[in-house]
Amino acid sequence: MLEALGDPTRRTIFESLAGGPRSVAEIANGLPVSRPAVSQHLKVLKDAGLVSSTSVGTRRLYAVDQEGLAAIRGYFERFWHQALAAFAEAAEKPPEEKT
Amino acid sequence: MTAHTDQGDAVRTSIHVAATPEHAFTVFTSGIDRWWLRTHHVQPGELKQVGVDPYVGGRMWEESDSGDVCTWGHVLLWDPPRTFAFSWLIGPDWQPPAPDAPGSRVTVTFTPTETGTQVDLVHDRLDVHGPGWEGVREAVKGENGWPIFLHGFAAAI
Repeated sequence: MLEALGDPTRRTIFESLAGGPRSVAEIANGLPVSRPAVSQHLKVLKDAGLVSSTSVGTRRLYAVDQEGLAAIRGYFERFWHQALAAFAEAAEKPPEEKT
Repeated sequence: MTAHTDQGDAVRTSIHVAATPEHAFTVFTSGIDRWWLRTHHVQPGELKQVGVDPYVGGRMWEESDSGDVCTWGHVLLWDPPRTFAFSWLIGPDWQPPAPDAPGSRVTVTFTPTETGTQVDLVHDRLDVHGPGWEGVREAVKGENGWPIFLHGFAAAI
């Protein structure tokens, strides 16, 4: 699972989905990789929870898994919210011991 | 005073402090151990100390009470008192990162205002922690909610 984004091609595929959902053919179009290879990479990304897919008519579109992205972002948002509050408190404390 | 903006794979948080940019920069970096959340560490045991090596390429490190030191990021930008950036190798599971772990990026800028300093923090490239998403989702959904390290967070609110 940790290897999901370790592969440069997979990372390129993942990043190509940042602009919006795309089909396998659309993804393969801009890459020196065959469609079956793209499909295989997408499967790994799906298994890792990074990418989700939906069917639109006869087409299958792949997209960044927003639920996963929202979870990780929400997590770090909470973390930094709290950390910065603690930082501000420390920064506003009048200088003491050290001169 | 904090504000959040949702955007892509980045977290943006800001806070205003009644201090000069120089002082704010110093507290954020060399004074990191004064404000770091003690509940947040990657090694077993208690957290003894957190530190920043003050130069580009320097380590972001923590020391446990047993004396073990773990590097969890590297300084990417060191431009006091305006900009400080570092890589963040810690996944949402807060396990010691592998040496070749992919890193997200935290950029902190200090802007002088009439009454102090505006501190803007951007934590982006979060998608590199993607393989942990499943775990985070399960943790949020689970009966126990967030793991132990968030207990302090809840208590502080």
